[in-house]
Amino acid sequence: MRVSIELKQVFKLSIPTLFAYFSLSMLFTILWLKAGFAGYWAVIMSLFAYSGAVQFVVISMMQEHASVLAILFASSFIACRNLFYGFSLLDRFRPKPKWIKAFLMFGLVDAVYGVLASNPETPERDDTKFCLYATLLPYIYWQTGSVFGLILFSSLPDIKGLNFMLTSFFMLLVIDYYLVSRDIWSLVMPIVFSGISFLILPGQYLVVAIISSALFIYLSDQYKAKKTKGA
Amino acid sequence: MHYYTLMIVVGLFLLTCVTRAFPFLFTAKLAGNEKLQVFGKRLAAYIMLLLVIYEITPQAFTVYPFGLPAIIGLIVVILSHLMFHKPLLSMALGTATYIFLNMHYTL
Repeated sequence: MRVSIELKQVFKLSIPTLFAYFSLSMLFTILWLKAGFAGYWAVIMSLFAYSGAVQFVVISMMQEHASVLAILFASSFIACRNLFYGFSLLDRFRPKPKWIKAFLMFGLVDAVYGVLASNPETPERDDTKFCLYATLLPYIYWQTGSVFGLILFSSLPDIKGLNFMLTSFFMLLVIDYYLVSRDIWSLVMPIVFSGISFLILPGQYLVVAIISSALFIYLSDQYKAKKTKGA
Repeated sequence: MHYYTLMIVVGLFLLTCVTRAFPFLFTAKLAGNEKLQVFGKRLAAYIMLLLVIYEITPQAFTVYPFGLPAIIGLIVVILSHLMFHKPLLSMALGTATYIFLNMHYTL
């Protein structure tokens, strides 16, 4: 079998993703099993939800027996950053065959967006193939990782507190965002909102804190816009 | 339990489809709305910290050892990330610290 240049190019570009997605989805399955849920559901969820941060959030909420609606509600806030990836790819995806286009949209995760955005169409290669491989490889990495988690879990010693991995993972995202944005409020307000909502409504405090954060961000943006207008 | 998990998987599948296909469905209206884009990014960051707290659970702070293993674990994560910038290493160090302290406090 001859390997096309598109596949070769994409594979090279996807090596960082290979490490990141493989280990992350393996971690997902391990934490899922650690929470006491059936393993095949972890694989099914990776296949159909295919959404890193969301899948991790779902584990922690399912452990607390949160309602299906509360889980989907919280997930939709996290997934909403994906709403915008497509905009810069509208023209590029339009001429692709229907089924390929559907998969390209479904598989448009952060890493794929990064590769596609930084590698625009060129006449030297078949862009349909390029986009398809760029979307398919990370998907395969994610699925392989989640299956490997099943295998690795059984050889893992039973240690209490391993789920702190998940906490650390979220913490890393917080740090990375702060380093880029220098938005000090992003470190303060979630703590304040969690505290207040926990005192008021301990059963649903996460959802209340998410809504409060959304309102706070919206209002502070409005305030900033007003201030710059007035100056 | 299976029904509960099934509902969540179906819901997440639809959510993934809707959020990722969204720009292709509403091309004209929202294209290049930078404000919304910034809002989405900021909110995601806030939610991540909310989840850190959610993971530890606020109850942990009200009883002995007052969430200290988690706080010290997170400090290790932060320092390691700032120094080495290796995500997996930082997660491993933080978790090891947490497990060690947890064992020590609960014994």
